[in-house]
Amino acid sequence: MIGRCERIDFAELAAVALVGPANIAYFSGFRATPFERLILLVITPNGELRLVAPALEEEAAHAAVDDTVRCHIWRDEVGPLDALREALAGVQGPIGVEFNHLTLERAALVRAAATSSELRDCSAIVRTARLRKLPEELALLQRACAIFDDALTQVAKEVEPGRSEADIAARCADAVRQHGGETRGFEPIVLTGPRSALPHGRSGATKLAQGDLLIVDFGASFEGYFSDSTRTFVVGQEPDERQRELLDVVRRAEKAGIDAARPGVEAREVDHAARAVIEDAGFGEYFVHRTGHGLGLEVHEPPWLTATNEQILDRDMIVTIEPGIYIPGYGGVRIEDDVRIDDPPQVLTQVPVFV
Amino acid sequence: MKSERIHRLQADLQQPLLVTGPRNLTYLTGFDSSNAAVLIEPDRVRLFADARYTEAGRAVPHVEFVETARNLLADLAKRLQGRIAVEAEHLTYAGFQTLAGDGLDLVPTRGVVEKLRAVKDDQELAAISRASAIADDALKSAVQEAWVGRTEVDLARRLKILVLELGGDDVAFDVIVGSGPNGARPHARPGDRIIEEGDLVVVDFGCLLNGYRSDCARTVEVGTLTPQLSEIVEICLRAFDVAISTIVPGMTGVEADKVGRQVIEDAGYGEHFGHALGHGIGLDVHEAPTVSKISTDSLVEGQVVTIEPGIYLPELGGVRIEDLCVVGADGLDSVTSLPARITVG
Repeated sequence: MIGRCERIDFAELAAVALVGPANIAYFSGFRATPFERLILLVITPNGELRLVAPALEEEAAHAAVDDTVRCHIWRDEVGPLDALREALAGVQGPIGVEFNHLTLERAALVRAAATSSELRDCSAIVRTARLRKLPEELALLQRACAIFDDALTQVAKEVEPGRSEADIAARCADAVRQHGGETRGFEPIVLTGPRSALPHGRSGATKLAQGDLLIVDFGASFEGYFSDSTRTFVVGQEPDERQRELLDVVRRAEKAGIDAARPGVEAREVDHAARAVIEDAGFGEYFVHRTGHGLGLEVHEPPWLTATNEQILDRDMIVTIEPGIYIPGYGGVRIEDDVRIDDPPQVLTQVPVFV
Repeated sequence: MKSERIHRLQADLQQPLLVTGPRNLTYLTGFDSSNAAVLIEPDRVRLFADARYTEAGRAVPHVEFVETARNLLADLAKRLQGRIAVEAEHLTYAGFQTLAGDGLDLVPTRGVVEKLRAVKDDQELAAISRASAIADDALKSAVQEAWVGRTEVDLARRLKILVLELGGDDVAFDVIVGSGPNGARPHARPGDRIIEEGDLVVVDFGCLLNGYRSDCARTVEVGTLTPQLSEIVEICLRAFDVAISTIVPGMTGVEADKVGRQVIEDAGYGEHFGHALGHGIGLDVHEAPTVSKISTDSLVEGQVVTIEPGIYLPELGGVRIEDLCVVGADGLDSVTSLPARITVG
């Protein structure tokens, strides 16, 4: 955890008080599945880490953190207020909290425990800290991607007419687990035939039919880090002419997006690079989502590769590049890989695009 | 059924209630969305969601569906007026600020729908029972397999696969497996430790089926135990038996907790039983009522609670025995159908 707190730009904040599980994991090493009991991490500008945790998690917390983290344990019969007060001792001034994570009730608790009652949103500065991945994180992400590769290779053998989308989705999850990954946090998306044109469809009972397009989109988590990738198949045979054209356009769009993913480039330039290929081929109106998103301790995190985001990309950020074409009533194609921003960019998912 | 639930809320309103908690929404409307809300007023019930959900939203009976902008709370801030109760445990601070942005007077409330959810109807009891039966069968199956030489992670994965194969939608929560010294952590995350002779292995898991969750725990005894571990198993078992046979509706959470805790305290291990005796369960793994030292909740017929005494000795091991129970007219009826003690070779 050395150096991670130094990435937080506190400005006028007297401290941050974090409840988001990914943020707590990142700064303290403690990965707990939150139930309803309050787990909160205070970080001060001089790098002090104070973890508020329920008694039920005390041993696990101590096992996960090093001695730079001071634990403030609270018992159910007493409640978290005292522990929170201790964790906020000496903090004078506005406190950064994650507005989108902290509930109204907990905001009141933080106020009650702190000397200052001023809460400001620190979500952006904390997420910024997590943007550039450290070597140990890259290793875990690499592993998550390798698990995807192995899992997809396995699932590809099971793509045949008659299987249902849900069945293939379950196979994806099984394969991820078999190769040492976890599946919590996202559902594999398996869509076939005209349903492959729904970018946000859910795997269902539809059976795979010979000659249909099939989108298989899933990932793996490994020690908290996520991979996320997609392959498009044609069930049971070689692509026909139209399918071949779509696959080719999307593959070229993906390559263009990947090639643009370098340090110093704006996020929107990556989107433009991929989108231009699809537009030039005449399918622009069917590419109905952004080109990609960041990956790390969350399966969706900054940077967002949208048509308008001016955020400058930096080395060792991890993003997905996932252009697609979705023709309502006909079907869709998406090809997605995970990429480390660098010069040249490094593609982390290695399974062949056309399996 | 669902309309009854809404009527019960309407009967007690002090001001309109905006329900945003996902499970609460499902409970009241059957609607499943991450971006929806229900406003309950004495004479009107409106379900709000964005255009992605219009088709599904219109199909919900007993409510008026209103299509909103994608930014749901910003839309409601303009659309609604006056004083509205919000769910403080579910609404984020950002959500609160957005919703209050146009002059709405927001009153924080807690646990209103959760209180309603505590008493289960017959369909819910049946759903929970089915989920519980799957979990029981999964453990029964796992117990037939070899345990010595296996890692905790492997065992946890196996249980999950068994739950899925037996028809569960998923496990109810991340499977807890704590073997040997790891059992001293009540929420042990399965790791690479290899199970060995003499271990106590605390296994705590549940099944998710059709939205409802089960929860149970058994401490599997691997071969012969040391006298100390044997002792805590026996004490825990006694606490478990006494609790299940003595707790009755009408008791508060504190009183019920004491029934089980007293046994462990009297045996000198009070300091090593650091969690509540039990909790309600349903759509959430933890819900009302709580059976704990501070719970003023009352046990009422039709609630579903876990009873789970435990004793945890750091660096040595732990024991927890947990049944899922329905609060009946005269006492607790176990839904879990596993023997309280399980030994593997």
